[in-house]
Amino acid sequence: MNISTSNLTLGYGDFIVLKDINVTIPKNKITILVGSNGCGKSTLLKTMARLLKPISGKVALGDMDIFERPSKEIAKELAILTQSPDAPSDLTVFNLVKQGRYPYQSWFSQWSKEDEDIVEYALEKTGLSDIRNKKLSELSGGQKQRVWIAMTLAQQTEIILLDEPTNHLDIKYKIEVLDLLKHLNQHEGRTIVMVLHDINLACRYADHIIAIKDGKVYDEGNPIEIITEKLINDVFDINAKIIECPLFKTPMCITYQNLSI
Amino acid sequence: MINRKITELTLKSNKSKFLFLIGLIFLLIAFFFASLLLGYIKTDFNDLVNTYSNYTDSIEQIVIMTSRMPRALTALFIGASLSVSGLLMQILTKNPMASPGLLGVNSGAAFFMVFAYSFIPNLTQNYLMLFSFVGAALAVLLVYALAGGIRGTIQTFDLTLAGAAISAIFISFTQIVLYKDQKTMEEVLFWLTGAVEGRSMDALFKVIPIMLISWVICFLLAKRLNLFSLGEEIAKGLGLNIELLKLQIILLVVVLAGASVAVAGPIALVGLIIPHFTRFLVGSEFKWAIPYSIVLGAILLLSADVASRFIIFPKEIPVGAVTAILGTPFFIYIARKAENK
Repeated sequence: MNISTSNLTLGYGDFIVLKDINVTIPKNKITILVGSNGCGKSTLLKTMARLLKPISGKVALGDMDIFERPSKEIAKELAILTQSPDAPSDLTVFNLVKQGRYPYQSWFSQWSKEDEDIVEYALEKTGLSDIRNKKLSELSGGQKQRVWIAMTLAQQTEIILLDEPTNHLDIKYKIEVLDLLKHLNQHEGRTIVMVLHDINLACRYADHIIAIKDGKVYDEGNPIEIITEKLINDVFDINAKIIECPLFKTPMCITYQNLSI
Repeated sequence: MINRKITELTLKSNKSKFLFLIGLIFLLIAFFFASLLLGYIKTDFNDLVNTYSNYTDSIEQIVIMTSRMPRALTALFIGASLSVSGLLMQILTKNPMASPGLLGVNSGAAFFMVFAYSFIPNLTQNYLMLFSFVGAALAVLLVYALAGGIRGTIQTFDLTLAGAAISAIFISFTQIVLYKDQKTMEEVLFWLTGAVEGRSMDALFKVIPIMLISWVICFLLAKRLNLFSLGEEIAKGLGLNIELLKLQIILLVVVLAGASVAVAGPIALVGLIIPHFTRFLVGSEFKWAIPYSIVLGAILLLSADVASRFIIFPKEIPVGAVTAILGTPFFIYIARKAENK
């Protein structure tokens, strides 16, 4: 299933953040939204996950308007992990991951063997099986983030949206989380859409980048094709020299303000 | 903030949570009997049995039937309801200091009660109760509307602000009426401190079924409340209708806290302390937190009421004053323990 937006205008009250956005998120790929602070990339992500209502325009999941379908049905096709979520710290890993099964439960069908198996799978994928009974307060930042990702995995959706999943993480955990998402994309064909701050990591992990500037999509496409010194300068308002990453052959930006400091 | 405070968890497995709950229920029953038997007029277990099997109109039996039984039931149901509504308020506002009073429940009820006392003479107890319940509900309705409930999305921060504003207005209205009418002041002072005695069985039987039903509804919402505690965006992403849930929470608080304050006046602290103590014991899983707050809230108010008969014996003091004396040391202990962890 594809997510696409048509003439999407977003904002808060009278304040317009994004205007007439038309994008289609490629299926089974990793799409990364980039742009400077406050450009509206998180707003766009949340609207695509039906957390925010647009001022005008549409978000379609498949060929249906996302706001016209029951929210619980959407939750079986699309999962969203918002930025730095905060759960009660006495919850155990297992009890948090298990919440991902909510869309599949009703008054009549309660917790089943299938739910149990899927939570098991999510714990295993994220390497949390051994610490399933630990409380959130006992975990490191990287582990906590993996627990939240496990919860979205338990939702068993084709599409996963993440708002800055590496925020506040040490460099090691940043890579760990992004590698996990890449793995989910490559081995299970999940469509992943995320907002990332770090342009170099975005270039390394993205199949598709959407760069946002001044309330519009500045450019979109494969990082190798679209990331140029001009784009960095226009979108982030900083000078850059672009070289090829020696490891991943993706664009790497060396940013600077002034060459003679 | 609320999430970080609660780090201590003494009961881990479901089995220990269940067994401890059973233990607490026995404690509750013990306090219930203590409430029926202890007081200025000495009674024993035989008097209690005879009151309901072999009624002879003795002074002991009259006291048990007309005074202590309604009083014990009032303490039980109101303690439980106040503490559950406090739990709901804390989850709704994500504020560990929240209690039902934050929505304007107490001030609305107080104003309507004082107004009715002062301007409509010879009202029966049932009508006074109804009046203060309407006041509580009206205050919450105003708070809800101010916080954006009408346009469909309420912000919990706005809810807190609107609650403080509406409360302030109702409190000053109440003060104006009391200032104008000194006689009313003396009569309602006891109610305004919070009191569980002097309620008729008849009035209680109107309130108790409503409270029982509300407790059951809370329990049915437990799973959704768990989801809500993960934050509004996460809950929404999982397909929960959070605006509906917020409305349900507010309605439950109106019914539980509104009915409580209508019957017994604004009893302080139960709705603040017990939810903390509950989470300290069993964590934030609502299928446990709800029954624990019901039982612990009932125990606190029953024990406070029994204590209120002996602190300045033979005179009694309002139970609202005692809950603070009993509850505060506990509260400080838990708060400190949670912080040190």
